[in-house]
Amino acid sequence: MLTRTLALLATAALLGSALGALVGWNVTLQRVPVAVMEAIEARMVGPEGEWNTCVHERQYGPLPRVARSNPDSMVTRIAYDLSAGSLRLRGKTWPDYWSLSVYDQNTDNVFVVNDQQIEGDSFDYTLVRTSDVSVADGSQKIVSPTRRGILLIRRFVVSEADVLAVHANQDLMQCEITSSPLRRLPP
Amino acid sequence: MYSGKVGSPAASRAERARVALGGPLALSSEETIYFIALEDDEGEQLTSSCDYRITGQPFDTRWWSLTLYDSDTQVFVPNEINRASWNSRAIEYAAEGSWTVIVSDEPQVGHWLPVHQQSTKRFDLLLRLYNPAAETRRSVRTLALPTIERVQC
Repeated sequence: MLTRTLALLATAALLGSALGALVGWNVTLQRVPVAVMEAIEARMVGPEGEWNTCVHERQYGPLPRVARSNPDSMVTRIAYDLSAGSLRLRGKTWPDYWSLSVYDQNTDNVFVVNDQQIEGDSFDYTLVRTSDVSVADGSQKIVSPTRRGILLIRRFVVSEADVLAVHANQDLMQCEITSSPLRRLPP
Repeated sequence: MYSGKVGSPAASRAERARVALGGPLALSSEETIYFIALEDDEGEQLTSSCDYRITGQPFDTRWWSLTLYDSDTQVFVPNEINRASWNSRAIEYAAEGSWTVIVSDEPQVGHWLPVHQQSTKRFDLLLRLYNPAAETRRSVRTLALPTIERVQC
């Protein structure tokens, strides 16, 4: 009897350990992407905490210290925090390849649009926290599933000869936090 | 390994964690397809102590690029010509349409990608296909990828 009880207890302990390990592994898997995003955002905003600021990569070619960066692109980066309102982005696309992509705090690429999917060569998007937030006329809404995240604009640059034109394209961009999150009034 | 869910909210926890550690802020597979090579055609690890000839065909995609990274740091290998990649617009194609890139620690004629000099450090090659054609996406598992031939060590 004692042997059987001990065996049952041992089995229960083993199953409990296995279940605990499984839960722990799942929690780790869930936590990793968030930790990676937090680390990238901390680097992007710096000690001044510059959230919602367009940071333009001005150099063409290989960049030191940026993991897996694409030397054929010149990127604009924005670490966003929608606590203070919505983030409106306006500017011109870039003809060889241009895309605007949004990554939520879980690293998911929740939105992407490229220049071939936009009518004309201008863009106007507003990143909002929920779908019921109002945006300016003519601006297209992007809903971020999380309050914080990262937005990237990629431009494919064929050669060094394009760099000044890319700088001009970057300088045309406007990035601004609009007023506090407005919600559409119920009808 | 390929999954159409990579980079999207539909990815599994394991896929998401793997991408977050290996290449965060990549585009979803609807926009860009990524391939990584860690080994040559004979299954040997890519190392700076060998020279390699990479040969491929054009891809049916808006543009593509092949970039070399130090496998340990995941950043570029510093070199005197400041080159870490070749892309579909910059590369010259042979008469039959193929292209060739040489990986070596010594300067090479043609499309050269430098690696660490006199070193055994590992490197990898990342192929990006931006805006792949619908057929390219459909046939992604059987796509003719570049060959990586070890020339000498």
